[in-house]
Amino acid sequence: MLPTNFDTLASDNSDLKPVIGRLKDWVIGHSDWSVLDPRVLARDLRDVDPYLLATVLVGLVKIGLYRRVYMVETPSGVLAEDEYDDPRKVPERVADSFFNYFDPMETDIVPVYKPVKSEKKWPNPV
Amino acid sequence: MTSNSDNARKIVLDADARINAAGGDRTKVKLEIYNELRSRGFDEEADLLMTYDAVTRTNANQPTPAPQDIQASSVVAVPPVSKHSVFQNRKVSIITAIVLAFVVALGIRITPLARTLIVNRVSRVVVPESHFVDEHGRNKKLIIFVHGVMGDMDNTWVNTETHASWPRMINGDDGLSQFDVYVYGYASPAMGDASSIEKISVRFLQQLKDLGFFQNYDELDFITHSMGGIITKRVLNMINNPSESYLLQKVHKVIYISVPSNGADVAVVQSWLSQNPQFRGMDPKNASDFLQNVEGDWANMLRHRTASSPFPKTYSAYETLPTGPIMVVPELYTSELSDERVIGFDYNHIDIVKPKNRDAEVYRWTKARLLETTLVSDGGKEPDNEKLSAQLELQGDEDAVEAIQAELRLVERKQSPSKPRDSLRDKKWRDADNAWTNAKSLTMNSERIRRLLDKLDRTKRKTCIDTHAGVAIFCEANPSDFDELTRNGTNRRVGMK
Repeated sequence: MLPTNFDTLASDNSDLKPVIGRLKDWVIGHSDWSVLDPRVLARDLRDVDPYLLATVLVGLVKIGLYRRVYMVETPSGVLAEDEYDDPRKVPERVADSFFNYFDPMETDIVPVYKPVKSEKKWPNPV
Repeated sequence: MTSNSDNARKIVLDADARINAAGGDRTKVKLEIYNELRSRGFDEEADLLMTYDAVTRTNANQPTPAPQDIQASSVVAVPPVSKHSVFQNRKVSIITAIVLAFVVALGIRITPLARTLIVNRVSRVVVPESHFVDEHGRNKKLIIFVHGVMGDMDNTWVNTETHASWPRMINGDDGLSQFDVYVYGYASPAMGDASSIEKISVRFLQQLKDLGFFQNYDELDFITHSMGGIITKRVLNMINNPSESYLLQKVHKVIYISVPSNGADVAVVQSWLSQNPQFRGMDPKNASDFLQNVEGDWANMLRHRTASSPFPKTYSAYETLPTGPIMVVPELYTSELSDERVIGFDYNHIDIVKPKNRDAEVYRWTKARLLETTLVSDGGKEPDNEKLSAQLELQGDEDAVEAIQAELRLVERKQSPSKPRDSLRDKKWRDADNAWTNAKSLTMNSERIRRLLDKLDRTKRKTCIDTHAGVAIFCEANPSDFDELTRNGTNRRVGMK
């Protein structure tokens, strides 16, 4: 399940509380998801102001709970496997899962929010 | 935070408007604006623009990928799961499981009741009325017909082609004029609820007693079909006790036609579909205990028959043709407990008890069995010339009638202690005893003896009476013929007088 400890973000931005609450409910209701995709959120939270929703997602990155990666949408609508930390690093030709190459400028570049992995240190084996 | 900044909002909305205006080059324009914002130090607005554009584009009915496509991506990392969420998930799962279990339990409880209501509504149980066939009360012998599952007391025995009814044919048969005929019926719907085999058996026995059959008749004979045979066996097993054995001795012969003594596979399927418990009583798997008990008690009863209590005699037949695609009661499921060889008839399970006329194979076989055992019962107790003559005349054997009459006169004289046997007759008695001793291990088959006797020289014919079993059969006076007879399959004592 995705992290839902949005309290810090909510306490710092009282005007975003309703949107943060909606997002938290969505995450709890989608425990099998491992990423936040703005396209899916937009579809499921249609009544939420798109600008505020985008602001909250950016805020989650700022507080270090999530990280943002850019992925390329294939012509069929799914996301290609490769991910980039900057959209400008997307190459001119991208392969889909069937290794068919396409021009990303003809489709779209989408930011996806992934939880930041906790770096748990395991004891060294003896 | 940028949300508080009207300036940031303005920048993002203006940029997005430019992107949407770009048409086919929107991604290219978006990247250019992103690059421009970054170069001017508006990093946060640039990131915000990319996310905002993705959201607004979706809301503008742009196609979105299916959730599973995102999930299928191999690069997606699965984050650690918090204890709180696990507990919450389990809680939801447990509640869901309890609700589902309740619904299933309710369904299991209610479904049979609903099914019973519906089935009994559609397939109403018709309570039959057992009855005599035509006139009755003159004779001292009674034949009782017992039908099988899904049958009824009248239609089971009626041939669909000739509309001949077996019970009525017996009633109009001169050869069987000494019998009254009674048809026993019980409710046996295809789908609806009904009495079990055990309940029917208890009820049937009580009716036999209440109607005074055991008091009013000297001889009771049963012709049974399918499950009717199991019912009859159970009834007779119930009176096989010291206090009621005298009732049992009134039952002289029981004829089993296609009786699934070891169950029937088709009953398994039918028991799934039907509410009728009679099918479950014939399920070879689930009802094996019941069937084995009935069959075991029956075998025990037959084993304890003696010369003074030789009844009931029992005869079995089975079908050899399938009913539709199914063999309902094949030979395998038929009881081998028969006083003669178990006979297979080329009929299916339904037609085997619907003889077209009196020449039908199964009718003649049954008639022969009835007459055969009638001779047994009469001969052993009180030889009756007139009765024997009448029966033999029906068989068209006038020579035999004369011979028997003469011999029975001799028998009556010989039974008098004042008249000693002559030496020749003593010798023949000894020969007969020796033949009997040799034949003990052979299989009984009186029908074969009859056929053999027909081939013998009638001028030498004498009457032989089995004084042990009360069997009167016809045989050759020549002692060597005894040996031949016994070699060919009798294990009854053959006495010669």
